[in-house]
Amino acid sequence: MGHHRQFIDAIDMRRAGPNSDWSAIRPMCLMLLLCTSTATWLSAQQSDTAASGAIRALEREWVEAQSHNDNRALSLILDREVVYVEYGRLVTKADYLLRIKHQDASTDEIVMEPMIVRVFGNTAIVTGSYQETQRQGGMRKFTRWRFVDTWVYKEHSWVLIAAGSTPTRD
Amino acid sequence: MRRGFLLTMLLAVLASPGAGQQSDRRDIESKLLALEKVGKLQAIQLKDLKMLNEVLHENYVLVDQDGSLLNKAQVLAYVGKATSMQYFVSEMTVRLHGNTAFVTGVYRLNGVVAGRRIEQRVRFIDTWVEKEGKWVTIASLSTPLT
Repeated sequence: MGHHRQFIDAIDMRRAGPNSDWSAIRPMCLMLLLCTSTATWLSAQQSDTAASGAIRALEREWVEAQSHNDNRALSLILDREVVYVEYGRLVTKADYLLRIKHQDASTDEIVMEPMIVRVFGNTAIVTGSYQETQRQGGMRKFTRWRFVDTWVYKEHSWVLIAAGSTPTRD
Repeated sequence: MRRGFLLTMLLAVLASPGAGQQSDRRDIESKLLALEKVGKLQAIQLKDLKMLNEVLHENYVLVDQDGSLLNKAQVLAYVGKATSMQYFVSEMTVRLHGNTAFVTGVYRLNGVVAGRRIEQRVRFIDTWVEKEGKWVTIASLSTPLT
């Protein structure tokens, strides 16, 4: 009730004209508005930074899990309906996990390069590149890939819903 | 009597939240397929930069089939200098995850860009997000078919 009265008084002051007390409280209102919008912006920035950090960590975990045939960890990182474009083919989560399960981890080495995370609310896009070295019969095949990964925030964690990479020509 | 019962059952199913959600889902999927075909690919073919500008988010990124990384301005500039671009799309599928969706498919592209003839067969993934009631694409990946 008291706050309501103050609000009516403030309107009355405003109606009284530019030379009234309204001109005194106006800078305070503007300052309050500025502080609120700055706080909102900072909060959004902080949450984007936190999301970006979490996703970078998950990207590293993914590489780590793949190199150790750790399907349990991979299963947590990948959404149930993930779609993965691998060597030009569309693979499901089951296909991918089956391949990793039977893959000889010592023949495939991945070195990540810098990545960029862009956060769009509860969706994040990661772009980056990595170098892959495959060893087969004493031969080494080197390929550099550029990738796009899509993450969404679901049930209190980030999960990978789509991923794909394409070989670079450099 | 029997007909009346079936009608009541049908109405009950249609009115249930599950049926409504399914229908909403199908509506969004159809909308995204239309946006993909008309808003994006046809806009590229017709060099409709205004339409492209609408459907590509300001922070849009594309990883092209040769591994190059392009931003929105670079994509618009590339389309702007094309003499002709013709897409033949197949296997297009939409997957929805709340207000995020991605469209996968295969396209064959024939065209001439900056005097160079191009012919590609690629698999693509386009990621879309709903922003203020409008669907915009935020990322695309194209990779050669093997």
